[in-house]
Amino acid sequence: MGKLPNSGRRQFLKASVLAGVSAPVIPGLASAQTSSEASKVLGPTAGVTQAETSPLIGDTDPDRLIKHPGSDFMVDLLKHSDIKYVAAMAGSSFRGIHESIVNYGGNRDPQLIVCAHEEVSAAICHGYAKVAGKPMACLIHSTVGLQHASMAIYNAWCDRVPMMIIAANHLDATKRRPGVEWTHTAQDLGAMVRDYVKYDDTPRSLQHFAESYMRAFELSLTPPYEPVMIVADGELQEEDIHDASVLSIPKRAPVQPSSASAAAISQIADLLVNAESPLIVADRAARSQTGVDSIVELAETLNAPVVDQGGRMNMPTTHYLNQTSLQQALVRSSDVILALELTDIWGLINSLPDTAERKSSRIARAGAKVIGISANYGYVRSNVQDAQRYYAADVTVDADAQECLPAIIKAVQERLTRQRRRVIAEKTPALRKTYVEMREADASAAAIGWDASPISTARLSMELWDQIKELDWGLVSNSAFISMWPQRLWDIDKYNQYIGGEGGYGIGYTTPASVGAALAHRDAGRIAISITGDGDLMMLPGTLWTMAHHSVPLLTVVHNNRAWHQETMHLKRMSGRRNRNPESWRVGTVINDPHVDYAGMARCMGVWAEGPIDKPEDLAGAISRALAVVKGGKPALLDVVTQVR
Amino acid sequence: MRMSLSRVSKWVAVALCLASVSMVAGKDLPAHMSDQPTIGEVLYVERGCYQCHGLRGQGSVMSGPALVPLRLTREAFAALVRNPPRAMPPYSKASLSDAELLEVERYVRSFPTPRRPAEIPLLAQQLAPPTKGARSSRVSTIGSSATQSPVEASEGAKLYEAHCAACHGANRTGGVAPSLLNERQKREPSETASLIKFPPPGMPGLHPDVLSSEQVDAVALYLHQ
Repeated sequence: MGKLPNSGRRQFLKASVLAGVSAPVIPGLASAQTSSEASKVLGPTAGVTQAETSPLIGDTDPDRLIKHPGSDFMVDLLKHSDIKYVAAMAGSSFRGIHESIVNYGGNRDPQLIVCAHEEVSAAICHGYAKVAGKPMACLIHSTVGLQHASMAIYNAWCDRVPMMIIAANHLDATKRRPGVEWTHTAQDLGAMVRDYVKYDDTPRSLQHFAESYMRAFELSLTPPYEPVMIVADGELQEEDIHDASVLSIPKRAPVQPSSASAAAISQIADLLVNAESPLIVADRAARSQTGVDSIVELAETLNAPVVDQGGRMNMPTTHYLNQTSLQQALVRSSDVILALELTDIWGLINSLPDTAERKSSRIARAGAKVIGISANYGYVRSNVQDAQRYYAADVTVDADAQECLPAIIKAVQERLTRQRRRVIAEKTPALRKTYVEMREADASAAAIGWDASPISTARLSMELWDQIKELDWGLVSNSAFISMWPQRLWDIDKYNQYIGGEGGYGIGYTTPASVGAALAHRDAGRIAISITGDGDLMMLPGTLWTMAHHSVPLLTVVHNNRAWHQETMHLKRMSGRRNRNPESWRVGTVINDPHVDYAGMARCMGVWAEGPIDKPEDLAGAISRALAVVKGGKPALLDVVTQVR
Repeated sequence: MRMSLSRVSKWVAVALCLASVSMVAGKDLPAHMSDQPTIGEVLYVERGCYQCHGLRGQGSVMSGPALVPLRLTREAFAALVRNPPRAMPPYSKASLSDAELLEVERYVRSFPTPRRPAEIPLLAQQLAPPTKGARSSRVSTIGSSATQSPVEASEGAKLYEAHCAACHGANRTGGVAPSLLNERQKREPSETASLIKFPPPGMPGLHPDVLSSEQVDAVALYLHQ
C-alpha cells in the first residue's frame, strides 16, 4: 500500500479500500468482450453468490478492540480526586480521555464542560476553584491548545488558585501520523508553561501517571495554591491495559499548611499587643470562612482596622473595623502593620506614581513595623515577576496566613493585660464613628451623577444590590473597574460572596471565570452575579455559548463603557506628556463604529439578554426580568451603557 | 479703532462657539453629550478630562478625584491643569488655550450639586443597619450609643411630643404621617433611629441640627416601648 494522505480516519478507510483494488471486480469482464452479443450480461460467479447470500460470518475481531484503555484509568483518577467537572475544547490529542469521560465515566463526576476556546477551559477552572475550594480539571490539546490556555493559567498562577491541567501529547515520534500530530506535539510540553505552574510531569506509564497525578493534585492544594500540569500521552490514553493488577491509585494525602514557629508567633504578638495604632491588611489571606472569622477575631481583639485588598473576601463590609476606603490614611498613621498574604507589601508601604520620572516615596510613617506572613515567601519564580518589588519587612514569615491566625490570636490574648484591654476597648466609639463617616462619604460619592446617562457605576451597583440582597448570591467578578462600589456599599459578610479578580490582570478572565464560579455556586444553591467590562467580554465571547449550553445560573451585567478605558487613559497620558494632539486618545482604544450589540451577541448564543440600557430608570425592570431567568436556572445578560469608571 | 475688552471677549466667545460646533460635527464623541453642548462640555470630553473625572465630574477611585464640588480658585484650577501632580497628564497652552481652560472651568463649576444620600432610597438604606444575618455586625449609624446614651429613655416621650407628634399623632396613632404604634413589630430600634437620621422623602431631617444621636436613640427606644 502506498503512502496515505493524512486527513483523518474516514479518508484512511476509503483510501485503503481503493488501494486494495487492483483488478476488475467481475472476473469475467476482460473476456466478456469476445462473447457473443446475446451474452453481454454475465451471471455472478460462485464466490460472489456465496458472499452475497451467506449470513454475516461474525462480529468484529475482538483482538481489534480496546477493552480497557489507559484513559479509563485516568478517569478513575479524576473520580478518586473528586473532580466534579472537566472543561474542554475538543481536541484530537486527548480523544482517548475524552471518550473515557463520556462512556466509561458516564459523563458525571466528572462532567464535561464544553468550551469554545482553551483559554475559556482554564479560566472556568480558575473561577470554580475560588468558590468550591477545590480544583477543577481542564483537558488541553497539545501545543496550540496549551498556547491558547496559557494566559488563563498565568492568571490562576498569580491569583494562587489550584487547577488540574491535563494536557495531551504524542511523544513517540514513530507513532505520530504525518502532519498535524507533529505540529501539535512538543518535545517538552511543560516547558511552555513551566514558569507559572507549580509542578508538571510527562508520565511514561500509567502507574507513573497515577503517582504524578496525585502528587500534582496535593501540591496544587498546598498553599500557595497553584495550577499544576500532567501530560497525558496519546499512547498511554489509547493503548489497552494489559495487566490492571499492577496499577494502583495512591490514597489522598493532603498536606497540612505551614504555620509560623512559636518564636515568630511570640514576636508578632508582642508587636501587635504593644502597638498604639495597629493595622491589618489582607489580600489573599482567607481561604475559607474560617479565615474570615479568624481575621475578624484578631481585629476585634486588637480593635485594629482592617484594609481588605480584595484578593479574596477577607473582612465583612458590615463590620466597623473594615475601613478599606481609608487605606492611605491608615497606612500613614499606623505604627504596626500586619500584612496577611499580600502580593505587594512594597506597594502598600510606598507609592510609585505613573509619572515620567517614576519617583517612589514612602507612605507609611517612619519607624512603622511591618509583619509579613505569606506562603509565597518560599515560593518565587525568577522569570515571571508577579512577586512584585522586594520589601524587607521587620518580621517575615514563610507560612500560610490563615493557618497562623489562631496561634497569633491566642498569643495576643495571653499577653493582653486588663489595663491594655481597657485601652483597646476605649478606641471603639471613635472607630465606629470613623466607619460610619467612611460609609457616609462613600454614599455621598455614589450620589454624584446618580441620574446620569450613561449610567453611573454606583447607580448600576446599587440597583443590582437592591434586588439581590435578599437572595443567596455570589459576586464573581472584579469590582475594581466599577470603582469598588460593592465593597463600599453592599453588605458582603460571607466568604463566598466575593472571590477577587484576575490575579494576573489578564483581560478575558471575567466571563469564563464567572461561569466556573457560577457552577460552584449552583452546586451550593446560590446564584452568581458578574459585572464585566465590554472589552473583557470581547476577548472570549464564545463563553456565552458554554453558559447557555450548560444552563449556568449566572447574571452577566456588561459594564459597557465602549472602550478599553484603561488604555484610553494611558494614551491620553502619553499625548499630554509629549504635548501632542490632545484628541488622539480615541485611536485604538475605543470600541465603536460600530458599537457592539452585546445583547444580540448573547442571544445568538442562547443567552437571554436585554440591552443596551442607558437610562437609569430602566435598570430596575431589566434587572428584575434578568434575575427571574437566572433564578429559573438559566444565564442572562444585560448590556448597560455606563460611565467610564 | 480699538475694540473694548468686552467686545474682544464677545468675539472670542463667538469664535469658540463656532469652533465647538465644528468640533462636535462628525466627531466620535461619547454617548449622551447634551443636545447643545457648551464649549466647555465639548472641550471637557474632547481633551479627555472625562476619562478620569467622569462625564458628570464624579471621579473614581480607579482614575481621578471627583470635581463636584470644585473648591479650587480659578488660579489654583489653572495651575493644577497646567502642571498637575502625579499621573494626571499636563495640559499645555498648546493643547488647551487659556480661553479654553476658562470654558472647561465654567463647565466643571456647572455640574449640579448631587442629592444627599439620605434623599436617595437605595443609598439611604445602606446607611441603616442590615436587617438580616446574625453574622452581620455592621455598626449602624446609631453606633453603640443606644446602650451608652446618658439620655434616659423616658425623655424620648418628651422629645417625641416636641418634634414628632405633629405628624405622627400625639399617641403615635398617625396623622399626616403613618402610625408608629407597631414599630416594635416592624423593625429594630436601631432601624427606627436610622430612619429618623436618614428620613424618607417628605419627612423632615431632624438630625443633627434638631436632635443629637443620643436624642434620636431615646426617641427610638420610646417608640419601641
